[in-house]
Amino acid sequence: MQSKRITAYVVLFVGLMLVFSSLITVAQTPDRATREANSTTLVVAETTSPPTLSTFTTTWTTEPLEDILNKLVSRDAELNYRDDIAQSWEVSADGLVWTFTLKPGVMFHDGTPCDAEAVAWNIVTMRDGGASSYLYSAVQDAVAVDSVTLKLILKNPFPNLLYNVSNSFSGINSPTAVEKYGEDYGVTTVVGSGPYIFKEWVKGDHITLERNPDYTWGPSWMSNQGPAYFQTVIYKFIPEAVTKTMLLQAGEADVVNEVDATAISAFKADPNVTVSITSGKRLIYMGLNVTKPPFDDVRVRQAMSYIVDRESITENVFHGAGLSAYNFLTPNVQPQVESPYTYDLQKANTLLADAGWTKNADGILEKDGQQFAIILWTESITDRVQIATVLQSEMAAVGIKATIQQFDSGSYGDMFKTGEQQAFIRLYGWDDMDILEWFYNSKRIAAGTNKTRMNNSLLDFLFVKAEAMPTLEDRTFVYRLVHEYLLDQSAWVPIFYPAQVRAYRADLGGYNATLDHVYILDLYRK
Amino acid sequence: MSIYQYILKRILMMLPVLLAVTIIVFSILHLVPGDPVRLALGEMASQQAYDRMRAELGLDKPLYIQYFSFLGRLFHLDLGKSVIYREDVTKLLGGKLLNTLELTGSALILSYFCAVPLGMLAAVKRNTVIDYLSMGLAIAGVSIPSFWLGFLLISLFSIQLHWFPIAGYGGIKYLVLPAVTLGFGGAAQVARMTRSSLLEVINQDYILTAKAKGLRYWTVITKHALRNALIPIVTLLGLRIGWLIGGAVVIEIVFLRPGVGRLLVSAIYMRDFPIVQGVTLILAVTVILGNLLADILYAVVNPKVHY
Amino acid sequence: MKRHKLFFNFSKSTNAIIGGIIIVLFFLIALLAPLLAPHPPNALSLKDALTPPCREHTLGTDEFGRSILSRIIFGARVSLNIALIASAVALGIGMPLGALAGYYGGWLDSIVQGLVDLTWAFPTILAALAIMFILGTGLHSVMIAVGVVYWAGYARITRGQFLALREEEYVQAARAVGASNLRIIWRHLLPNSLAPLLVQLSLGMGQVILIEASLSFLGLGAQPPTPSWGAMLSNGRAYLLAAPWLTLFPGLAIMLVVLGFNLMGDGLRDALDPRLSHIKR
Repeated sequence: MQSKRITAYVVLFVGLMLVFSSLITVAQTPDRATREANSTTLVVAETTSPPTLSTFTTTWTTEPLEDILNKLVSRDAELNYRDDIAQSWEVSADGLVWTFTLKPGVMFHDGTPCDAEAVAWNIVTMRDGGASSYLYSAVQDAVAVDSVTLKLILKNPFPNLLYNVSNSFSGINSPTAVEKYGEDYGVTTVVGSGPYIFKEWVKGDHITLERNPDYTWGPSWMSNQGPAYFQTVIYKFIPEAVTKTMLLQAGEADVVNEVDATAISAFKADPNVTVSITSGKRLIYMGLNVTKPPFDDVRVRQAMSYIVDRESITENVFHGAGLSAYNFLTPNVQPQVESPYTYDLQKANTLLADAGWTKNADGILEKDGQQFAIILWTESITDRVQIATVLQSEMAAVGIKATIQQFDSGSYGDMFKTGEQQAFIRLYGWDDMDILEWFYNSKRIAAGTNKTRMNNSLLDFLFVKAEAMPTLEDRTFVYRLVHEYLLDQSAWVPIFYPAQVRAYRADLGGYNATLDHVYILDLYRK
Repeated sequence: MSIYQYILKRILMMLPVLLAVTIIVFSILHLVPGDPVRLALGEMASQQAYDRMRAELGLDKPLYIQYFSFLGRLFHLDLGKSVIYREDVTKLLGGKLLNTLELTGSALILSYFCAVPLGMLAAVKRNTVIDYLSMGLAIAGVSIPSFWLGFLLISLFSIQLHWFPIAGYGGIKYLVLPAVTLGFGGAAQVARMTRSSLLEVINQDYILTAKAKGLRYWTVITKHALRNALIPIVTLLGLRIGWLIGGAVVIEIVFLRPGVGRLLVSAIYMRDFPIVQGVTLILAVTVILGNLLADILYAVVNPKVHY
Repeated sequence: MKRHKLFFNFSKSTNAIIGGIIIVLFFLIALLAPLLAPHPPNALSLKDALTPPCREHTLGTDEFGRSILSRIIFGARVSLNIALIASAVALGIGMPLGALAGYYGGWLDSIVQGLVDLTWAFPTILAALAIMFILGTGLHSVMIAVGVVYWAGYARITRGQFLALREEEYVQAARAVGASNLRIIWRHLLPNSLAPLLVQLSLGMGQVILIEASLSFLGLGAQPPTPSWGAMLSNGRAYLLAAPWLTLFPGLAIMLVVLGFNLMGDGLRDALDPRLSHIKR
């Protein structure tokens, strides 16, 4: 009797155990358990610290934000538009109404639902005075039809909408939190629905994130569909390239974004470190002011494009951590155009001679008694100063005297408002064709954005046309014309596409990165 | 004028100096190109967001009004809000100041604890190998660029020997290398000062008398000679404080310590004037008080000086 | 005892002599740079980039394939120029102000003291940024900026000397005879203050070179392709692990020349310091 009862208890106990453990194994494969146990803290080395974490009040983006916020739509490594908060979408035939179907049950970290209403609020708030209001300038209205159906009604067809709702500036914030914290939103906290929860920010030093244990709505192209493995993620802001290198090699950092070209060979030789080199979304170029002599002559500008030995710069200065640049858009971005320019001093000399420049006794170019002497501006950042130094020497080879002038990063942007620039080294980071509009539309001359000061009514007309094109193909077609024309005008001398170089400790598994971000959701320690 | 009147006068003198500091900082930051609002928002930010932020921070008002409202807030010990981080400067500075004090304080202590015995040894054993070695080390100390020394120490002690972490913050093991780097130059000067002032005292009559009375040599050195020799060394202390905080800028960047020096540099580049004003004021007060201390001690040592 | 003193004197002068030799050597290198440098200092040769020290390039090449040795040789010109001119600027501002403060005292002293406090309290980098903006970036701005932030030390020393000396009997005597203030300053006080100033000048030249290096570290030093040691050291730091010779040799050059100035200053101090002179006697 006694023993029977005990047996019954034992059977009951074992049965309950089985039920429980099967429940647990549904949520937690043994694989996940070991991964979570091994993955306690991840340290990511970043270069620059953001000013605030609110996308409404700054256009600086930062990697931690990608872990805190979801977007309406995500973009995978091949730049395809994929699900995020929205699981699917469709466009009306006239291109004016976009309907997004959202995943149910998505929650912000503060416990409020991330539903169609919340997304609509984000879009409208950004459009009406947010820092990146241009993202949604085509949006007439955002309507939450029900909790999982969002309709965006556009003023005009805007095929590039998916790019705008999926880029780094369009993370979805908790409306409740934004209103609750007011001015302090993005300063003391930031609340999204992503795999990580904001915990602490020591300004200028590091940001700490904690795992969101409820996260089950990751994009389908992530291998991890549950919560992240790492409990804590620390983003450290480290301006010194060599310090980042040393920290990774010593294991004091796990991931380095933006690896310096000088560190690549050391990392490749280190068995504890894995290097990932993918083509990036940045271009370093030399801009020429088309309104000031000597670069007001298109022949002189074209000559500048012929004197640069890009292959040598790519190989010897950047050790292959990128590609030689011949046109104005980065390698992944359409429309790519065949550039007429190669390294050809003969052609450069002919063009310069055509423009009336002849060499004097000292080997310096002269025209009407004036020497070809210019000031080359650059920001005092290593790779740009290096390029300036090489260009200075290459200009000297054809008889041009260039003096380099460095500016600190605080003043550089402002200097272009003066219009005193002659030649200048710049970098841009963007992966859409509309960057050409941004830098060449004449309406942005006064603000110092259109730094070459090109003022061309045909271009301005094409820019307006392009943004109103009904399909992406048409838009690309217009931008192809623009791109070809700009290459001929040669107000930019494209030089180098820095690659996206990242490195991480070899004991990390699940490395999954796009142009913008290393997804920590998938990452675990082996 | 008594020494007390002199101190009072100097403290009163601080006010115009500090006022001048704020005026100069304010003018420089408005004179050099660079727009903190544009830098905080980014180049692509909308005009609307830009205008709103300028208005919020009062930057759309005439410069003199901006300056006076800054002064007005200063009387309530309110340094305003950082343009870039949009946080109260006093709050931002608090933790970082502590961090910098920890670094400079330990560098100071380290340099005195190593340098005074070294200088004494050199003086006592003067013209021996010990003297040459320690003075050679001291002169090398003032001759090395500090950021280079920092990187060299990291390569040796962190990368080769794994004794200390490379960079970061938290706990004593993170403090050793930066404190040594910062203290090295200071230690060199203190050691040389100790040696020369001790040498000066050693040959004076009362020391010779003490020696003649049969007191033990080291007792004479530590009890009699050092006490007198210490005064100029302590004078140097006052001057070192400002120097150390200035030197901390580079050390904090190399060793990634979140202190006021690193904050100051980034704030200058971002034209974040509330932060720059705040840090500069704190530096100014520290340096001036340090100098005052040096002055007072100088008067104590040299009775010929009166004010 | 006698031998001991002799030895001591000798050692004092050895310091100064070694320091002097180092400095003279570097001045010679600077003067004869075009003759000594094996390669042109600014000629890029990208295919030779980052060559370790070898027969062709004794100290290796930098990231542009320029010879480090040649750049250090030509860099001696830049660094010594900075040391001389910046120190002259600092002395030119500091000595007269310190003299006025020390001699007249009173409100003049207060003002100069205030200026000293102001300068010392002011962040070097901010002052440098302002001067670079007004005068443009480049070596001349660096020299002036360093001079302007470094004058206060000279003012303090001059003032201290004058304060102590003006009560000396011979100064009082001169005053009693009716000598003018200018004459007292020029004939009596200044010559007697020169020793510590000279010492400070020698030590200061070393300091100035180090300040240029830290300005370069913050991106405010000489503009490329000018081969300044400070700029070489700070540009090379990205290659600290991959190509340590980029920083090692300019670092050593700075150290050596600053060492030279310091040894000389030390030797001078020992030789000139009246407080130490009784040891010699």
